[in-house]
Amino acid sequence: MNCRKVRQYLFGYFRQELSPEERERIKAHLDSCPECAREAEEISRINFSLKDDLETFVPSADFNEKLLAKIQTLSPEEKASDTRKWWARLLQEVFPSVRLRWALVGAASTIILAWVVISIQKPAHIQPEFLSQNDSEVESQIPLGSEDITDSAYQDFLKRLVKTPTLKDRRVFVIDNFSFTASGGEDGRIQPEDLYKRFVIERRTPFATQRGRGSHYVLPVVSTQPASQKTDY
Amino acid sequence: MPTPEHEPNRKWPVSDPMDATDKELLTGVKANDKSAFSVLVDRYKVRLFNLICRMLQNREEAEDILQETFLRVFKEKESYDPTYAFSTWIYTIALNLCRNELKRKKRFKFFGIDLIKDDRRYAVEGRGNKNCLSSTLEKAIASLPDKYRTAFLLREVNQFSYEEMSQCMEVPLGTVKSRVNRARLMLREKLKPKIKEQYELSKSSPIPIRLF
Repeated sequence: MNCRKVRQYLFGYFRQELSPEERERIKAHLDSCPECAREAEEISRINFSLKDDLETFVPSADFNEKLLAKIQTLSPEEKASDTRKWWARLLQEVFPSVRLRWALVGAASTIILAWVVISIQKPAHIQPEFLSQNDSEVESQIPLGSEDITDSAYQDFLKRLVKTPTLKDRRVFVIDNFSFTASGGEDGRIQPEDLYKRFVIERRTPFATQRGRGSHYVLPVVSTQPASQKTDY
Repeated sequence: MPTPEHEPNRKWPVSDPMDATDKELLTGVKANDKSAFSVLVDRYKVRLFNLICRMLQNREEAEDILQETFLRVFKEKESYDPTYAFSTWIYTIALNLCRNELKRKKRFKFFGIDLIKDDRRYAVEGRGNKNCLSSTLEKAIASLPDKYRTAFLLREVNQFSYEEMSQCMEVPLGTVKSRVNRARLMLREKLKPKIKEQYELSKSSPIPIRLF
């Protein structure tokens, strides 16, 4: 222990406020350091216990009367023996300790916070919408098969789609239920209104395609917007 | 200081209210017994008043805060948590009110309005010949930063244990201890000439150095 530290403890030392180990260490230092010992001697004489040393102030003689008069002016609700809201009363009945109540509030908010953090971090799983009766009758649909399509199956599907030669001639492709519509409508194109709320895969603009050098495609844009609402990227 | 909790099973009304514990008196207050409330007020008003006076350094304001403290006790009597001592609860209320009042004053001061009136009257009344001497100490205490002053007063004037202080100041035990110690060191620094003089005078005698 250095002198600075010891001097901080001196008051506590003489007021019996230290643990036995701390006392031992201070005592050992004081025995070996005459400067601190001198300081200690002075501090040991200071009487900081001021209970009887300071003046005692007394509130004015009519304090009690004024207070009781003030209580008389309180509204009946405030005067009623129980001013708490019903939920506060219930809470106190069930959990009488304030500490427990705060612990409960803390636990509840921790759970909510954890839930929020987890739900933010983990993006919602893409739920494939089932096709309406009408749509399922479209011949050109190529279903991917199993109902529980995983994200990796979706990625595989996208890769296959990009490699499909017919993609070059189509402006818009639709994925529904992770099946893939190669063509549709009378002119071989899906009408914009059919695309709403489906996963739409659009080829990039011709300009971008040219830049993309031949058969290499940039991964399609996936959107749940109607294709008609999309403009240039 | 809390009244010893002897015979904790006694129910209100007790034969002599003066003899009742704080918690029993509070039961009486809940039952709308005015005498119980009066006994509680009498039991706490002087020690609270001294603390509040030294916190706010203004007698009139201190009396307002004291009144507000007891009003709060009356209004919130049902929400008192009996796992704590009543004294801890009432001191917590008083200290919170003081803290708010001091904060309010500081806010005004920030805008250039000084509400802190140096009220000499609060220091003048009291016991005759001690006046001029004790005012040095009184001034030194008043000049401590608020939180250190609170800690020092609770410990050295109101004789609280560190645990009680930790509860009613709503800070951890270690913080309370270090605040008390800081306050003592600061006071010693401020009173250094006086302490030196007294020390020289009483060097050979074992009389403690009094600061008043």
